[in-house]
Amino acid sequence: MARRATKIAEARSANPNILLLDAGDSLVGDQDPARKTQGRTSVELMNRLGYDAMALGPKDLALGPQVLRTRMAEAQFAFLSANAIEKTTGKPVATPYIVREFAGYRVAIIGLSAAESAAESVATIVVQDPLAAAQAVVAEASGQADVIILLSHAGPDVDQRIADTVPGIAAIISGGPGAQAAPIVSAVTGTPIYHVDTASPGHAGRLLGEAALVFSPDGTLESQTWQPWTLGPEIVDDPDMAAWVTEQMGQ
Amino acid sequence: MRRVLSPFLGSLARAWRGLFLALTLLAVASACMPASTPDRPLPPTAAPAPRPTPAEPLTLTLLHTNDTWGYLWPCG
Repeated sequence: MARRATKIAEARSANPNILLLDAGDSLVGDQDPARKTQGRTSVELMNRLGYDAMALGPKDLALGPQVLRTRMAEAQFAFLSANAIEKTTGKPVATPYIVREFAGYRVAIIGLSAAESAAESVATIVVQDPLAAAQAVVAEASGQADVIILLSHAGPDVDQRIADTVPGIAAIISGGPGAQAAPIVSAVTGTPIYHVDTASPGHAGRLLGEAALVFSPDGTLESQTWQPWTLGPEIVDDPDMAAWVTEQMGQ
Repeated sequence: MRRVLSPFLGSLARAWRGLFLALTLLAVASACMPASTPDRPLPPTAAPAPRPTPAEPLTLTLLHTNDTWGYLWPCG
């Protein structure tokens, strides 16, 4: 995390218009202190790094609506899911999308969860069909934004179908299994899909994706480049983050 | 008898005319006054001004992660 902090700070100093996003399954896993604190340390970490939004993956949803509400109250970033619904209320577990403005452009970030999440999740949450949810929420958000980014934990196959069949998405940030070395660009719509990481012990969080997107004034994606960064020892630790991590690991 | 009643009948007629005039004015005035609880649609408000089209292209950088599983270390 100390390397991630350094890399993020470098990117921020070089780019005035930047979004820091997480595609999900980042709150809890098989280790403490995140497991012991039910994701509180992860939220504190993401607050410190200045995240803008995260999508909810099955591991995040498995915390249940009540714990998620507590984590959301602590977070200085948005928890997003357009298709995770609380059974008892029929309401979304999290915000479907947010809109940020950069240099006069309104940028919507939509969150999507995996349909299989229901099996892993608690009984109080149902995850609706992500493709249908994407169609509906993109249609809604397109009236409020010039650019739409989809932050998806729906899985690589579903993300590909969304890229091919739902027009109006500038880029898809994908989570879950299926890390890739280069963007997958839809032959139908031209929507690029970026996906950096696949979780495995000792590797989770070691990759950071960086996409540079150029939009014309009408919101059309003119060009895109993408780079997956491996956060190896050649990257200097951010001292403040290193001290915080040491403190958390000692508790 | 007619001479005795004549002033009274004249006053009564004037009173009726006054009352009729007052009721007419009241009806006209109330028709012109706005209702205290409007049950008709309010006049349309001005449409929001169209958003100015940005003059310059936008370069947007997306930094992204996933599947961190709450790891703090080792994770880069």
